[in-house]
Amino acid sequence: MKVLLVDDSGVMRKIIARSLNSLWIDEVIEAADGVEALEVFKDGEGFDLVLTDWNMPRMNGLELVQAIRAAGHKLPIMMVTTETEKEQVVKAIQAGVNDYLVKPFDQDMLTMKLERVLPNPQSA
Amino acid sequence: MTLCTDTETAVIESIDESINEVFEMMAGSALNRIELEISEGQTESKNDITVVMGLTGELQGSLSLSMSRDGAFAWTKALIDHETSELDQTVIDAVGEMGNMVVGGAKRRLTDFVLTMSLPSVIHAGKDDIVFPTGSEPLAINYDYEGTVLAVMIALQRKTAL
Repeated sequence: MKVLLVDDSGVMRKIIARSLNSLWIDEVIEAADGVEALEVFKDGEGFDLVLTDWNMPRMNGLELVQAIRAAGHKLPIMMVTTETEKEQVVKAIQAGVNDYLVKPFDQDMLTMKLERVLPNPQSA
Repeated sequence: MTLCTDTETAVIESIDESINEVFEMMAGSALNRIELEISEGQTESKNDITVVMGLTGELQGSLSLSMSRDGAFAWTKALIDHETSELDQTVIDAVGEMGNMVVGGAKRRLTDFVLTMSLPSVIHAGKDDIVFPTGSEPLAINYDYEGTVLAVMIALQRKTAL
């Protein structure tokens, strides 16, 4: 399983990557904003999930989600953010976000959310 | 802070709940509130590093979190197991993320207000006074974190109709 992790905070990337690597994710590719994420994502080949922050410089998470969906990719996308206002959630869902992880979070919350969008193949 | 009592109470409670949630969930430690004070225009800071989060919308101004080097090191170690004796980029990023999560959590709890939050700006200016514009009466809440002081400065005004 391969995840594209997008966050402008190197610390947050480290926290999430460490958690993902302790679960059933084999590979975590990191990007610092939407522009860098699209460069890495290319045609999406090999990626099973995109985990993205919302507020980032250059290209934010919402614009990234829109770009990935506009290119026809159907892989699950999870937003990791402090933004939980109804209007924001609606915007994210309309853009094609599958689930939300609200910061702050612990390992159990991340595991539960991950189970929903990218179940552990060994527990199937 | 030039807010009415109800709003002021709501902001303080939102910060209090949010900061405790962030520290318990991300660093595994609870905080103790040790002091609450209202200052006129400036607050004396004994801390080394400050993260400033701007807020716009129905409440306007900033929320800042300020801590000592030792406090920042303890937070970074708890967060990502990064040990250092320098205020390096990882520590600065960790402090920025603390501001993002604490203020984001407070914003989420202030459901009566439409608010937009800025990206964090981390200031490493040493021990100095933090000065706010005329008319602003910043409120400082001090917490004890691992034997160091973590100060939250609230400088918000209610948006006035044009």
